[in-house]
Amino acid sequence: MRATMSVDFLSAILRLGKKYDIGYLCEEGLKLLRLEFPTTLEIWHACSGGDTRINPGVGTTSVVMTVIGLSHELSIPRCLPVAYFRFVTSNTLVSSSLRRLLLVINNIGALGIYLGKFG
Amino acid sequence: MRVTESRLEVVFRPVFQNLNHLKFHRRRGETEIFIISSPSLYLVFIVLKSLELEFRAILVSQRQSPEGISRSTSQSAVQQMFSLFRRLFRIQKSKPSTISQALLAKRRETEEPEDKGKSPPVQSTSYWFDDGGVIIQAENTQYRVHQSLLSRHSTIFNDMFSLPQPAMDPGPTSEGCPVIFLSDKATDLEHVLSVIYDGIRRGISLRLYFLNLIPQQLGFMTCEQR
Repeated sequence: MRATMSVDFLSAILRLGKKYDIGYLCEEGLKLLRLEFPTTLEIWHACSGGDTRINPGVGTTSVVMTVIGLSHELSIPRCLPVAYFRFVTSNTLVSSSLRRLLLVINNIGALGIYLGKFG
Repeated sequence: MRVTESRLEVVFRPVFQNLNHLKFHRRRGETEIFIISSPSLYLVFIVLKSLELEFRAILVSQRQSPEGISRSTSQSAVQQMFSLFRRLFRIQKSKPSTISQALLAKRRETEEPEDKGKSPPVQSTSYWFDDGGVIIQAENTQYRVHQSLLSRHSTIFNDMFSLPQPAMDPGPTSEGCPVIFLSDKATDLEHVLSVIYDGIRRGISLRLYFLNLIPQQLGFMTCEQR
């Protein structure tokens, strides 16, 4: 059985690790993202097929959607291709799922302004 | 709550009727600088962005505006501002001006109503150490933790703690410890404290995954640009 990390925990260590400059926390989170949302086909083949290493935790938002939000928020664009791929393959593209996704991304926009990224 | 230009205006407009100039200057990093100048007054605020706490700043005032500084936003002006700030702060410590006192009184007045609406903060059950020297508060939960441990893990906290507190206003305290307000979610902070106090393996066990990977793949990933 694989040990997993909850997506809340992942978000927390990436977000606060970056904000408070705690290097090993960020690294731990990024490591997991690299495995779960790889940038090459080789890693994809090596790592996919098993169960996901990120569990949804207590949140109601799906893991993939949370990761898309996180990647936008913390500027980790490398995860986005696979994350979006997973999103479109795991969701039927009805307007409700797209609306939820847009909501996540729009929230990040607001958060970005709050964090002073754009202003 | 963040300090913004409009908010500064709201707070200071009643105090200074003839406030004719509010300047905002932002420096890269954690520090924000606000300058308010009028013919008779010159104020510099240095706000630690990482504290994200309104007016948890060093307040300086002088009746006469030094020439030139408030009219320029160039880099040298910022340096000038800092040297001015140091100079003024020494004056401030020995003899607090009435303006500053008025400002502080005003500040308390304006902040009080906001505090009344909030329920009192609750102590965390998991991360409240009686020998901790600092209280950090996220949302409505307080964590009494060890300053040196936070400093050890985070350079931001380290910088935050190494800054001297103004003698005239050491900021909020509780049970003899300084209280630091963070803008983070309490659940996020708790996750991070769990790592700091209990180790990362409590939250995850990544080692298991790496055993499944062949070394080349691991090497490949380490070389990959972050």
